[in-house]
Formats: sequence, C-alpha cells, structure tokens
Amino acid sequence: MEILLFSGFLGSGKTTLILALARRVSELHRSACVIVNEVGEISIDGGVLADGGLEVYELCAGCICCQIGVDLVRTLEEVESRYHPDLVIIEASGVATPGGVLAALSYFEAAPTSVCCVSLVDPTRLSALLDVMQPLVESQVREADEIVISKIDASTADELTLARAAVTRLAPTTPTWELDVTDPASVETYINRRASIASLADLTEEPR
Amino acid sequence: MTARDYLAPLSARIHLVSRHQRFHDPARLVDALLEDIARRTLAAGASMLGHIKCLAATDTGGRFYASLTDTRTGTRTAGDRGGPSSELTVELVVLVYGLERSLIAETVVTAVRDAAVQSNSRWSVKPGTANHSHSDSFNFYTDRT
Repeated sequence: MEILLFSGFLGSGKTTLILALARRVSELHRSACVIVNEVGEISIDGGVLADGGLEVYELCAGCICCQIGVDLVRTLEEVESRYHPDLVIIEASGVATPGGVLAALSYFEAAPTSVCCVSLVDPTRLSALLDVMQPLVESQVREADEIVISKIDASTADELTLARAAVTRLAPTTPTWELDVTDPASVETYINRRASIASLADLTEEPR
Repeated sequence: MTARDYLAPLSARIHLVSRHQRFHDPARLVDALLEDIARRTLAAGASMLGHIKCLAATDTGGRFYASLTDTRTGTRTAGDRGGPSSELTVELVVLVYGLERSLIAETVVTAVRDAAVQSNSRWSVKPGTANHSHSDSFNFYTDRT
C-alpha cells in the first residue's frame, strides 16, 4: 500500500487535484481510498470526493498533525484491513504541517511501501499567507517531497514570480509542478508526468 | 482583540424556501451568499479568509460545491448546479482568521437573512456548534418531521 499525502493551505486546490488523481487511478484498475481531514465539524471535501465515486473516510473537527493523529492511524488500519487498497490518499487539513502528519503515520504498524507528500501552493494568496501564517506555509513547502503551484490560471505574473521564488528559496531541490487544478488537461499532464518519477511509478504498469 | 492567526471553524446548515417564484439560479444565489459572507467577515475584522465552502442541494436534484478563498478571484462552483428550484439546503463551512466563532455565526445569519429578503424566501440557519437555530419563524426542521 502506498500513501500519498496532500498538504497545502486552505483552498489551495487539494480536493480538486485528489479527485482527478483518484479517478485516474481508478481508470488504471488500481484501488484507492481517500482519507479527508477537515478542521471544521462537517466535511465538505469528503462530500465532494464521495460524489465523485470515491471511497472516503472523514476525520473532522480537528487536525491530524496535532490533534487527532491517533484517529488517522486507526482509520488507516481499518482501510488496510477492509480494502487492502493499492493507494491511500490523505488530504490533510489546510492548517496541517506535513511533518506532523508524517509523525502520526510513523505509528501505523503496517508500514506502507512508500509515502509521498505533495504540497500545494496557491500563488494568488501566498503573499498574504506569508504575512499572517508564515511558519505554517513555509513548513508545508519545506517538508514536501513534491510541490504543486496551483491556480496558475487565476494568478498574476507577479504572484507567480513570488511563488516560484518562495519555493526555490524554501525547497530548492524539490520537484515542482505548475498547473491549473480546474483544467482537466493541465491536471492530466501533471498526473501522467509525475507517475514516471514519484511513488506512483507503477501506475504505468499492467494492472493487477 | 483577537490574534491574527486565531481560527475558529464554523459550520452551519442553511435552508432557503422561496415564498412565491422559484429560485431561477440557485448556484448564483449561493455564489453571492459566500461572497457576501467573505466581505462581511473581513469588514468585521477578520485578518484573512481561510476558506468559505459549501455543499448545496436543491429540491430539483441539483447538488453542487462552491468554494471561495479570495474576494478577488470569487466563488468557484463545481457539480450539477441544477435548474430552477423552490428549496435550497446548504452545508456551509466558514474558516476565517481573527474572529470569534460567535461573531462569524452572527455574520452568517445576517448574510443569509439579507439573501432571503432579496430572494423573497423563508430562511433558517443552524450553526453546528450552537444548540439553537435562527430563522424568520419558519422552522425547517420542525416542518420536515
């Protein structure tokens, strides 16, 4: 079982990208479950993903990196025992740090074959976020294995330049993609390219 | 004075029922509501919008998702926006920084009430963290039982 952890600030496009990725996984006849964490009491993202036909587990009213990490581990154990999925996609809350989630995952005894953390960066709000939430946003970039600069369709040239500079400063060697998460073609290109380099490399192989 | 990075998530169930004519475009009504909530929370002193999002369902089978993170880029909607309808149910989450939950709830209630007035509809708001509801005397939860 592989784990793909999506991190990124609130509204950065995680759910949209996960929906597209999970559909692609399904097309390749691989099984995937999604665990969604939201700090609010109800899971809007879980509803969206479930509407998309995905198997979704919801962890609400707390953050898996600092408050309900034990719930994440219990949920993973349940997912593993019930479904034995090829891939588990975890959507962290927008206020989670990847390091905190990875620390919680270390208590998951059925060790996954790989864990890859993808962090999304929203250029349209990066300047404001760095002003108000700098430690969190910087952690989300620094602690990622892969970075997606999202919402490039809605960004100005200056916002994109700032985002690229911030990512280069914080994570100079981390593979970085730029895409419009609402554009199916853009997302498809990302998924196909990343499959050849990251933890989902075997998605291009014949299905089991 | 609240901290700029103070976050008190608010969830609420909103119900709107048109009094006469059906809502011509329910999704547009939801778009406008989210944007109004964003403007009002910022005006009330929020240091930053986190995420204002909802799942909405209409009595004619529409079910769509609306999301707002920035008043400049506006609301993004996905899903089946549905056609004209008489009832609209919205599961809302408001994540804004720097405001107490009670103030956010008050803001949401005011925005829904104004939206209801503009669309000539009855309304109710049931915040997820409170044990009481707000409405214009129409109690959706009682009527449905």
